[in-house]
Amino acid sequence: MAHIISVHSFRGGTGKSNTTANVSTVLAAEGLKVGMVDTDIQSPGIHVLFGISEDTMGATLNDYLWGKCDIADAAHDVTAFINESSAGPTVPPGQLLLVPSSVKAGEIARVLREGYDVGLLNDGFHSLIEALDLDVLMIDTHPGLNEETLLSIAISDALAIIMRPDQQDIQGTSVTVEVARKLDVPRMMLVVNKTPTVYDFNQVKATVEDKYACEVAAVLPHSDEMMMLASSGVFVFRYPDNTMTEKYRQIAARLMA
Amino acid sequence: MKQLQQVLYPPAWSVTVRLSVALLLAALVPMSLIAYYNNQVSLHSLEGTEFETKALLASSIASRLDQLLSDTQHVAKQVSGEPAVIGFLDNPTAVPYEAAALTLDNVLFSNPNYEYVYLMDRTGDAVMSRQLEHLSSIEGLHLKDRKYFQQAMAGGQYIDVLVGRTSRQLGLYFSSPVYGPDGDSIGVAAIKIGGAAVEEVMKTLQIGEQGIAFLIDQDGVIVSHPNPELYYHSLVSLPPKKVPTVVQRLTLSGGRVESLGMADLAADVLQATHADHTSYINTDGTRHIGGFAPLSQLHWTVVVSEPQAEFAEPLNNLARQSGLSVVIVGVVVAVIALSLAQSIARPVRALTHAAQALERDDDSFDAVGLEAHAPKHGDIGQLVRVFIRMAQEVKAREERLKQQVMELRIEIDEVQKEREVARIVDTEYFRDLKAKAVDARRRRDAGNTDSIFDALKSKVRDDAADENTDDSAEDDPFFDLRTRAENIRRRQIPQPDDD
Repeated sequence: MAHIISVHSFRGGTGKSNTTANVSTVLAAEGLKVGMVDTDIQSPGIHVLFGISEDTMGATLNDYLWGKCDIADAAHDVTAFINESSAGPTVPPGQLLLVPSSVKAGEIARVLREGYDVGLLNDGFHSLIEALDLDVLMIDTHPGLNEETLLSIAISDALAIIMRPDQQDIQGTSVTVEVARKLDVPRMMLVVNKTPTVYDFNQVKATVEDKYACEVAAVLPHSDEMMMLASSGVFVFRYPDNTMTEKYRQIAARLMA
Repeated sequence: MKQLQQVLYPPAWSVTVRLSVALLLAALVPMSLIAYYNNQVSLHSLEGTEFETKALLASSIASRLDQLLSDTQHVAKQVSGEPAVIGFLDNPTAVPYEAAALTLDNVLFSNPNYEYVYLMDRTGDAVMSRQLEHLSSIEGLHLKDRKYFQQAMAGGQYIDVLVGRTSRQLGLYFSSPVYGPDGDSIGVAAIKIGGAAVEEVMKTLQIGEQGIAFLIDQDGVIVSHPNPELYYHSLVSLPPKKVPTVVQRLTLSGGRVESLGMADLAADVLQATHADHTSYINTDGTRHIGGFAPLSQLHWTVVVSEPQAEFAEPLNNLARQSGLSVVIVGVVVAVIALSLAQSIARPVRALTHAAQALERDDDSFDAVGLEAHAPKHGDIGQLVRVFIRMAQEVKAREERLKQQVMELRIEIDEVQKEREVARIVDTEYFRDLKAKAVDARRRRDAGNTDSIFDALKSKVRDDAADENTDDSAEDDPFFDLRTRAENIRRRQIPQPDDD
């Protein structure tokens, strides 16, 4: 009986994929069997963090949506990759599986042109949980509010909305929070990411919680180390003792509470 | 073990220790070398001086003896030239005995060393003898076989050395020919002085505390020595052909000369032509260092010596003084080195602590306390002051940065938000989705699981419901998560049968 967590943001580039990857890794390290689905079909990205390239990708979420395969066939076991990229000898006792979206330009274009059956996506989540006997399903959503995003939010036990503390995100995030609230998501929280260090983080947390009437799981700084790692590894395994890692653990704990 | 390695590994030493060691070495190594070199040179020089002193002492005694001998010889010659003496020997009837005797008496009493002043006629009979009161007259003795008589009659002055048959005392006989008016030798005038006169000269100089001065004759026989038992002993065994002469001259009983077996001294001293130093084993077995000098009037040699231990005493004193001065200077340098090293190390340590305090960013950074460690002048003082200024500048900059921290302002356009929310919420899809969600939750609450959605949700809800009753381990946020995962695996997953 899996716990479904959606990671969402109003805009792209807020660190959604990174948050999904790190929180998933934290949970896997705790011994859980965690599945991730990259539903950002128009601009997929999370696969890069786990060392999956276009050549090694194999079956994708696109193939499932077009009826070419079962969704479980598109799941890649990336537990080993985490171990290889780890700075220490840490071995996640759990398992980490990823269903990526296709990065082939033609296939992305086809999705944009033809769309897909959102209901199929819902069935896919269910099948994946059943087939792989997942403890947790992490959904890395498409930015903004469209049908599949709303679906992801609606079926989630917990929703993490990632925002950057800038003016463009502030308004959009308020809309997202409001819409999610109307969908009665049992647990919803904000993660303020890429926060410039000139801000007082406690003040940021208090202000955001006040303005959105929503819990802030963590305020993450704009991290040089994260930037260096860019999209080529999972932070919590490279820097197990970093304060950022501690914050990801905090986010994971709040989402699972 | 590791500590020992650290002690033996100079790069691991503290600044204090390193500076102290460096300063100590810098001061003591050259000083010790110079002290050692100076000591060696001084010892050598002192040893030379000591040798020279001994040789000079020997020369001094030798020249006094020479003086005594030549003076007496001269007086003997004077006596032989006195008209009364000549007249008396030439014609005793013409010159009264008393007149000649008065002349001899005048000579006899002119010097306390003179024991006898006497005259012999050409046949060798002692015709007149004047002597000290306690001595008996030798008038009437036949002395023609005495060498000093024969030599004088042959026309030369002569000094003979004989030992008294009964007194065992050394006697020195000075003879001079008396010439008659026609130039013939008509007799001999002689003066005898006792060995005491020689002894007296030998004792005039004090040779250290244990030093000795003794006299060796031409055959290597001791004729004067502070230890009377050594009298008339030869340094080395004499050649057999010499023995009778020596035995006769020194009237030795048993017809032989006892040897002292001092070959090393004999090798240096016999045949000596000038004053020099020597080193030999004394009769008591101790090594003696000394000087010697030959007489010019007789083939005698004066030896002056003292035990090596006494000789070395001033040298050892010098070495001790050098050592003591090195130790004293070493202590002084050590104190200076330690205080100098401390004066450098203390501010360095204070700087280290201050830097650590800055690194920790706590309140233990104490500029005033640090300033107290800074010398008023010099590089270290400047370093500390620069460091304090830098630290204060860093602190000030940090404060300024803290004050610059920005406040996040969030302004939400509520009207626009409501409009956008409405645009989403008012769609068919949303209403449908919401209805499904509501329916799903309602059905789940009723235990019905007839849709994919509900089935999916109900699994999670059931777990969540389970977890709500289990609130143990609040400290571990992942505790209930793990427990739930186990529950999930244990439980039979209900399959929706109508989907």
